Amino acid sequence: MPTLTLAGKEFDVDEDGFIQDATKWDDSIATALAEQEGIKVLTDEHWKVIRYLRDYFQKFGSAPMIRKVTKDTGLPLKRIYELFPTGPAKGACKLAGLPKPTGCI
Amino acid sequence: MNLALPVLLYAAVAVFLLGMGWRISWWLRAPAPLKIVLTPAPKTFSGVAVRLAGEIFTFRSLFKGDRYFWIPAWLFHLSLALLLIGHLGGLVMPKVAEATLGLDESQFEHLAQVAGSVAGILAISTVLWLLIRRQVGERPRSISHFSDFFALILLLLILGTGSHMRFMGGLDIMQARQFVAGWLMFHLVPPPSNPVFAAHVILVSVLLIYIPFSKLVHIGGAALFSPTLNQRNNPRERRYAGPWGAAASISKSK
Amino acid sequence: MKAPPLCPNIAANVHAHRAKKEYLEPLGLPAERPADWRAKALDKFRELLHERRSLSLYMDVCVRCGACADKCPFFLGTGDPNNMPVARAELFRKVYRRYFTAAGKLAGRLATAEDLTDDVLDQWFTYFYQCSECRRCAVFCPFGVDTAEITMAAREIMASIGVAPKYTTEVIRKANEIGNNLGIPLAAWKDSAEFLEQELKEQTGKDIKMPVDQEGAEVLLVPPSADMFANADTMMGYAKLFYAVGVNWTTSTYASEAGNFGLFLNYEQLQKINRRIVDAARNLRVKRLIIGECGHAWRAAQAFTDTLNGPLHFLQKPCPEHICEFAARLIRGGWLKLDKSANDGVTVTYHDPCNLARGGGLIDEPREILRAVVNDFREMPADTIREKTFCCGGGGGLLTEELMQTRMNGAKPRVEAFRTTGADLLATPCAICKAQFPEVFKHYGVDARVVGVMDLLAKAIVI
Repeated sequence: MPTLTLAGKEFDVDEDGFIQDATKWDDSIATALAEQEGIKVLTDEHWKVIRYLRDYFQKFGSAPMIRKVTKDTGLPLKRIYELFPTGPAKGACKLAGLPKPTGCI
Repeated sequence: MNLALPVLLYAAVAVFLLGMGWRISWWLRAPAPLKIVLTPAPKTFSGVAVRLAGEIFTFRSLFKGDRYFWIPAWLFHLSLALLLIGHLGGLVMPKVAEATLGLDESQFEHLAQVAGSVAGILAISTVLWLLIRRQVGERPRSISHFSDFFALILLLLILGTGSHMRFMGGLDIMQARQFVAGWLMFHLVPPPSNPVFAAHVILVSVLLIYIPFSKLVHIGGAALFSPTLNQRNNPRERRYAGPWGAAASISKSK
Repeated sequence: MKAPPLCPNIAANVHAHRAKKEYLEPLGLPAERPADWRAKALDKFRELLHERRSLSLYMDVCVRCGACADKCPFFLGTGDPNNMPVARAELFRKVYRRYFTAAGKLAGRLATAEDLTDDVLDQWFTYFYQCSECRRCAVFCPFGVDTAEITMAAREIMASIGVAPKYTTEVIRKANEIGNNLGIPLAAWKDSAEFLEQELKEQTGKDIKMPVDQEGAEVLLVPPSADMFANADTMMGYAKLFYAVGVNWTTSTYASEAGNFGLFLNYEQLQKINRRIVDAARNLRVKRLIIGECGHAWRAAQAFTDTLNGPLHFLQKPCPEHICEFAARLIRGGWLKLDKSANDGVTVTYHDPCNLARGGGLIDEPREILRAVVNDFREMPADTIREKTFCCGGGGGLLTEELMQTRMNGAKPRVEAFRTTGADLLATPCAICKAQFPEVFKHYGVDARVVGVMDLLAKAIVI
C-alpha cells in the first residue's frame, strides 16, 4: 500500500492518491491534497463543496449524486470543474477524503 | 510391385479421417453453455442455415471486411473445390461422370482438359497471391507463422506436380485410373511409372496427414460449429439450457 | 479509418492496477499468485477448453488470414501489432499449442508454441486488458472467431491465480456487497430518488414518482447505478416515460445495478450478479423486468439470464425488455404525445454501444426513438454504425483512470466517425459510453455533449 505524507502525517493511499481511512481526514489534509490536484488556494467555494461532500458521506456512506451537489451547493457543474479540474467525482472527492467513486462513471 | 505409394496413401487417408473425427468430436464434446450469437442474427433454424451457407459458400463476412483479400481467398477455395471434384470425376469414377454430364468419352476428356487446366492455373495463381500477400503486406507478414508458409508451399508443390502432369503430359490417364480403382478396392495395381505422379501422391499424403494437426483443420467445419454463427437469436423466446444443465461451467468452476 | 503503420510494443506499457487481497478474497480468488501458478493456470485452461465450445474451436481454426487485423479500435488507435485481434488471440494460442496440441508439444517454436512464463503472463495482463470485448473483429471473421471469448477465457484463467485488475474486482465486490457497482447504499439511493422527484416537480410541475423497493409494482426497472449518480437526466427520463403512460414501476436497492462486471472477469461472478436481478424481481412480485441504458448489461440480461438463473416463468415476455424496446413500442402504438421541437437547436447522432448492437441485436429501436423526438438526426458513416459500430474505448472493464491512454487510443476511430457528422450531441444508451465520451471529446478537442436516448425522449414527451 503506498503511503503519502500530508501535513506531517503518514497516510495510506490508493494508487490514485485517495486516502484510505476517511476518518483520519481533517482540513489540513484537504489543503495538502489540493497541491497535488493543481489547486493553488482553497477558496470558500472549494470549501463549500468539500464540506458538502464530507457531510453527505458521513450521513449516507457514499458520495452524493452529482446533480445534487450542484443543486445543494448552488454551484453549476461548469464551475465545479473550474474549481476541481478533474471533476466532482475525482478531485473534489479526493480532497474531501472520500473513497474514490468507481463504476461506470 | 512397389507397395510404398499405395500404403502411404492408405495411411494418410486413415490419419486424415481419424484425425478429423478426433478434432470434430473434441469441439462438439464441449458444450456451448451460453448464447453468444453475434447479432443481428436469425431467430429460426432456416435463417441460421442461410447464414451458414452464406459463410461457407460465399465467405460473406470476409467480403464485408476486405474485398481485395476476398477475391483470392474465395477463388483459391473455389479452384481447390473444382480440382477435388475434377479428380473425383476424372480419376475415381469417369463412367459415372460421363453419364451424368451426358458426354461421350472424347468429349469428357476434352472437358477435363479444359476445366482442369483452368482450375489448376487459378489455384496456382491464387496460392501465389496469398503467399505474396503474406510477404508483402505489413500486417499479414507480422501475423504469419512458419506453418502458414508451410501450408501454402505444400499446396503449391501439389498443384505444381499436378499441373506438370496436366500440361507437360507424361501421365497415362488409363494407368492412373486403374491404380486408383485398385487402390479403392484394396486390389492393388502398379501405379503409373511417372515419377511426378509419385511425387504428387506423396505430397498429397503429407497434406492429408498435416491437416488435422494444423490450422487447415478449419475445413472440418469452422463456421458450421461456430456458436457466434450457428446459434439462433432467441434467448428470450426459448429458454436456452442444454443437457449440460443451465450452467455447467459455473457450478464446476466453484 | 485507415490502418496505422505497425508500431511494435507501443502500447506495452499501459497496465491496469493489480487487485490486492482485499478485492480478490471476497470474490473467492487467491490473495496472491500461488507458487504452482503455472500448473493451476493450465488446469483452468484445460477446464475451459472442456466447457466452452467457442474456446476449443477458436483455438484450432483461425487461419491467420488477418481480416480482423484492421477492424479493432485499439489497433487502429495504436498500431501496436499485439492489438490486432488475431495477434491478441495468438498470445493465448501459443500457450494452447505448447500444452494442448501434438504439433506444439513436438515442434515447439517451429509450431509457434510457447511456455507459459512470467513474461507471457505479463503480456496477457497487458493486452487482454486492451480488449474491450466489443466483438467487432468477429463480424468480419469468416469463422465468427470471437476475440471476446478468448479475452474472457484469458481473464478467467488469470483471475483463478489471483491476477486481476483492481478496478473490475473492486466494482464486483461492491455489486455483491452493496448491490451496485458504485457502492451507493440503500439510504443514499432513496435520498437520490427523492431528490430527483423534487427535480421533476420543479421541471414539470407534476408529481412524478421515482419509486424504490415498491412491492407489487408492475415493472422492475434495473438501471446502471451510474444513472443514479452521474446521469440524472436519464434516470428522470425513465420516470417521466413511465409516468406518461401510467405504468406502476419501481427500482430495487437489492439489484440496483444492471451492469454485470462478471462478463469482464469470470462466469461465476456473471451468474452471481445476474442472480440478484432475478431475486429482486421475484421478491418484489413484479410482472415485468426492464433494463435501463447500459450496453453490456443488456447482453448479460437478455442473452444469459434465463440460462443462468431461469426459468423466468413468473415474468411476462419479452423478458427482460430493454427500455428502448419499451419506449419504441409505445411510440409505435401512439401512446406518447411528443413534441420534437423540444430538441431543436442541436444536431444529434447515435452511437451504437457494442453490446447492444453485436451482443443484443438492439439496433433499430433507439433510432426509432431518436427519429421520433429529434428533428436534426444524422448517422455516422455506414461502416462505423450498427453491427459495425466502433467501441467508445472504455468498455469491457477498461473504464479506469490508469488505462486512460488505452481508452483514448481505442476511441480514435469512433471520434473520427463522429466528426464527419457535424453533430454537437451524441446520444447513446450506455453508462460506460456516457462516462467515456466526455473524456474522449476533451482529449481530442471535440466540442460536443453526450446524452442518453431517454434524456432526449423525456424532453420531447408532453405531459
